[in-house]
Amino acid sequence: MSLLRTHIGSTLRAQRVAQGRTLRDVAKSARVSLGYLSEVERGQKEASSELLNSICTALELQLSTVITEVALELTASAAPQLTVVEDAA
Amino acid sequence: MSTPSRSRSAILSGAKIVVAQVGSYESNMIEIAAKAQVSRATVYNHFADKEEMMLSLVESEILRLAELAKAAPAPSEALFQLATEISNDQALAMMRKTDPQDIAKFVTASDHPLWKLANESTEQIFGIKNSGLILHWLLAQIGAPLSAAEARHQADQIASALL
Repeated sequence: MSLLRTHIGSTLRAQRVAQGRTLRDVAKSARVSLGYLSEVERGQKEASSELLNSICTALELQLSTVITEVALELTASAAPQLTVVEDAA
Repeated sequence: MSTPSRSRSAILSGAKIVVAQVGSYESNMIEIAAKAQVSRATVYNHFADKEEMMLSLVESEILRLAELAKAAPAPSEALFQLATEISNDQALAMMRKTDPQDIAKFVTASDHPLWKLANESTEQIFGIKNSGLILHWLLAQIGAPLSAAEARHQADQIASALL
């Protein structure tokens, strides 16, 4: 199963890109380093909820909203797999 | 006379009220004893110091929320009730202003027994597969609370997606 942090990271990245903002800009307003933000976005770093909250604030999002989106995405990506399993059985 | 466990829970209730008024750093054992209507000696019979009391308060809150969620008629209702409790909690609201470092500690994964308790309770209620996401969702609200409408909407979305 894919890691939760990978999904949170990619959702944050998608939001940042949709807002047309750079890593540098968001990192600065979230007061984290550019490298750190980049690692969080790529799911390489397990960020605490506190840091995720400040990244979300910088993106004018709520962390719980982002996590809810991840839940919806997970089901969307899991559904086709379930069908395959049922077909095989 | 009140039983030991009754005075313990009275002290913890008192502690929560005091934290909601002044935050955790500014709260003290004397005020908490007064709020709980017990003597200072009784407080110290139960808790060696403020830190031990605060940890016990967090523990009793985790257990209280777990019981609440277990009693809920449906998973979406359990999520909504947990979100409502966390997002509207007056002690956490004060601590966001007065004790941001303590708030940061609450939401950071660690090998602390209380973190394990929160994790295991979430697993028990919502299943191992979903507990990570749900725990993150709830912890997010300690730092950034949701409105009732947001809590309802997101609880329904998560329940229909995962549970």
